[in-house]
Amino acid sequence: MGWQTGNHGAATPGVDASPEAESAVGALHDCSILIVDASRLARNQIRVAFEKAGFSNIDTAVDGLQALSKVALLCPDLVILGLHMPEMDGFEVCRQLRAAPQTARLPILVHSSVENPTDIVAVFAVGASDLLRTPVHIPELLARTRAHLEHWRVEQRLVAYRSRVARELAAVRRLQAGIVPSEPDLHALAASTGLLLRGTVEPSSEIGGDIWGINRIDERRVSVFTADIAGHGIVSAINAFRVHTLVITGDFDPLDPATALANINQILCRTLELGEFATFIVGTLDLLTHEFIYATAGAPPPIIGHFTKREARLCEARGLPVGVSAAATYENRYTQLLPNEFLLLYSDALTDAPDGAGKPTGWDGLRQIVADVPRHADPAVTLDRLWMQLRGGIPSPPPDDLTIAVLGRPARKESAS
Amino acid sequence: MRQTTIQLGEEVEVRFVGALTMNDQAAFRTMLADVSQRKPRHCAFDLRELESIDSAGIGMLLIAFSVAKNSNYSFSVDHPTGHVRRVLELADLSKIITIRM
Repeated sequence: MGWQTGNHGAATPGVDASPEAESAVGALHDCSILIVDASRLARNQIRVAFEKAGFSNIDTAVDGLQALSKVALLCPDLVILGLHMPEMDGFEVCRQLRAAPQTARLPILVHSSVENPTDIVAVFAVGASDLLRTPVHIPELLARTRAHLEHWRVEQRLVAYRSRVARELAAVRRLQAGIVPSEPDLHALAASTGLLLRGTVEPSSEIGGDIWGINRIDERRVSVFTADIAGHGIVSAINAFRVHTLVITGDFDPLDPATALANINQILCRTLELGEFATFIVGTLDLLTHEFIYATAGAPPPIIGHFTKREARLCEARGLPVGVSAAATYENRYTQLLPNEFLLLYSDALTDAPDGAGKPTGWDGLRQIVADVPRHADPAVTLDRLWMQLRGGIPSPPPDDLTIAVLGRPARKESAS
Repeated sequence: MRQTTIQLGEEVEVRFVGALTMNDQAAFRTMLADVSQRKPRHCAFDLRELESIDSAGIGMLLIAFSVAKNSNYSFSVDHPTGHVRRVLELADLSKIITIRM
């Protein structure tokens, strides 16, 4: 290979160190560079050129095998790679570096005397980031090195940032999972109340703005709520935590959910930004009188279905979402959830999901789906079928934060006389 | 979201077609900025050809209402139909926004 004789320094075939070149890479001096070449002279001359330019973290390798070993050991920021070497040539080194996830994006500057277009294509085909034709011109070497190192640094910062964000989002997701009823929570409540319970909250991204909760108030009453904070991601998740705190710490009368919503609304109107709001339903089921008293704030209408008959009805629902207007008022509504019936609460992700014709399912469509679920003598099986029907039609992750909650009242079994 | 903005004197009408969902937020903001720059006396969103709206769409209507209020022009949502009309009724938006059938 040939090296261009420069104006400065010792005789450096292919090396031309000018003052411009020496200052070109000032900000990246702590980057580590591995120089791989079978020629000791070439290795030394490139090393000298980098050191004169301010780089202090330079290492060398004499052949392909040593190159791979040193890359694994030193994790350089950039490799200057010759092609024709014993043990393993530069092409194979490049292939192996690109095949490994940790070096797939490592800047590799090949220096070679290749002139044939086919050979040049071959260099890039094995994954080289750049090609320095020999005799190498030092200012060009340094300029290209700087460009690749700057890009590499930006990329590494982005990778580190994404990794940190992913860890933090995973942590928030675990926190969110902790504020909605778990499977053991539902099993325990089901055992103590005789209810059949199912519930899920699934964010459309790592974290979301849907929450739900269920709580036994006393011997005969169970309260339930769902909230869908508008939007997705971090802001919605933070607001979901806010809403959860309001619900669990608020001293609300379970028999007056309308006032509970009004109180929550007042607080959220002071804290939410323009365009932020939450749709809500909160209600209390009296297991003795079968009455379900509830209030809605923009939430989709609850659906009541029957465990043995193929029927379902939409309940009344009307109310301004919370967080929109401090003047909003809400209305207590009453219905009955009789033994052998179940109550379905859900977020609009369920009704926005497309039907067979590609149109949003809508409330009537959802009501029909609930009515059409094949019934089984065992209400738990019917509930499983309903669950599969509802959840099965929506991809994972869902396109919008998804909440589904079902409270079932299996009929009491007649005791033998 | 497909929308067309028409100006008739001091009134601006924005006609929506199809769906108003979370995917439309950037385009919606651009449209709203354009409406405000026209300094209308009244802005009407015509929803007769809007087939669906999600909670993000509701949020956009609320933002449009707020922008209009802060910019001193009146705002209405006109001719919602079908499922869109029911969603607006469910959310009781007529308590905040003028809805004209």
